[in-house]
Amino acid sequence: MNEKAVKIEDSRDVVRARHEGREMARKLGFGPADQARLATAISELTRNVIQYAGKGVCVITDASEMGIAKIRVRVEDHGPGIADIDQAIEPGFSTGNGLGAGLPGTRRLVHEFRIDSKPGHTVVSIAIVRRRA
Amino acid sequence: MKIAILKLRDILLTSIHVDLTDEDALEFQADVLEMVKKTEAKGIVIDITAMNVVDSFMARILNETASMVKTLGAEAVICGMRPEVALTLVEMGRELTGVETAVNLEQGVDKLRELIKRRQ
Amino acid sequence: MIEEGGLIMEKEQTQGAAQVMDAREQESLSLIELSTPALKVWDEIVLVPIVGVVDTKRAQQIMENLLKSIAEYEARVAILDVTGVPVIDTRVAHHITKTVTAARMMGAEVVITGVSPEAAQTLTKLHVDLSSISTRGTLRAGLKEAFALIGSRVEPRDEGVDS
Ligand SMILES: Nc1ncnc2c1ncn2[C@@H]1O[C@H](COP(=O)(O)OP(=O)(O)O)[C@@H](O)[C@H]1O
Ligand SMILES: [Mg+2]
Repeated sequence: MNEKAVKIEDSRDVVRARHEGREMARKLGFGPADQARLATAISELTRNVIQYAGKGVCVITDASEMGIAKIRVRVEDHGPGIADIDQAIEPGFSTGNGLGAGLPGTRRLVHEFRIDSKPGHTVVSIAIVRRRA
Repeated sequence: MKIAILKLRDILLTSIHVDLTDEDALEFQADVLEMVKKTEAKGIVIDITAMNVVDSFMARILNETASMVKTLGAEAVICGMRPEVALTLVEMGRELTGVETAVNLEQGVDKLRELIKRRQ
Repeated sequence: MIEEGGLIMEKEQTQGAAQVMDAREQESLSLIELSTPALKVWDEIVLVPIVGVVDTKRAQQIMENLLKSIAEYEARVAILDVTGVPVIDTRVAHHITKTVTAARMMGAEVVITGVSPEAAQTLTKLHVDLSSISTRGTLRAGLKEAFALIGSRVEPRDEGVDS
């Protein structure tokens, strides 16, 4: 199983992480639109790590199965946690003076989206899927 | 990462050709405004052909930069947005609205000239 | 449930439930896709004629193609001809509006042609608002509009500045 872990500590790591995501998507035969969707989603989630938790990790995994190409991304941090997940995925909600577009936007870009969060531990998992020709 | 901004007679041209960090993007915005002011340019074309990721932060920077340029009394055109980038932004609900756009640099310059003419 | 890239996946924000792929969608993925060509009809004008039934997956593909052709041909106007489409439902209409917005960000305008009276009725009944989108009854009228758009170099939009 192919896996890439990118430490997220400053904004250059955001660039690195989205680059890795795009590369894996390209190698697995995802088209430009899916590459852009995944890279953008990773960018949003890893920026949140820096902004709200300081640091964390982004693990990009080739989770392909027979007949299906799939990339799973797990973005994890040990920051304060998301107090109200429903609120956090509401468009426009931001505690960071942002647009509040990151989580709701990401959710619309990917096939799977899941947040697990408690004080001291947040994991956002996403995946994109493509049927192989 | 410094993005070069070129002066061509009364207009400015710039191309974002590398993957920018958030700090780079903010620096780019400040540089654009500084150059518009310093050179008294009538407008700027920002070429984003090379950008394969425009997330909500970058979209905001582009939107803001364009309207700040207008506030300085100049015009701004963003050109070369890739189809997959446009699609991703729309899907995220982050359209660039009120920003003048063009398919390529040539059309971007034409459009800028037209906008400048209108303003005068 | 939300559809992206033709797949329908259950999305979850809570723990527990497994991700489910909609079996029906999965099936349709294996169907041979009707290709939709993008024709360069004039300098800076591309034409995308759609023929046949359009489901969500096909709509998405057609729209991606249309945007790609704008970039490829450096077009300023794209004509989307729907004369050959029997039904335009809300989902397809939604894809059309998304595409028009995306095309505008790329610097191109989309003109929709060949909307049938039935389709117009359905869309209105479904409260789909295409009023900000340029539509023409016939392909001929659409071409005329496309030339007009190219003739006048700049069409300023009267939208406000979004931040
Ligand atoms: N990793 C995280 N840790 C703690 N809080 C988070 C995290 N990610 C997102 N949030 C919370 O969710 C809100 C919405 O995030 P987002 O949609 O990316 O918008 P924005 O970053 O513009 O505020 C944030 O303002 C923050 O309160
Ligand atoms: Mg955010």
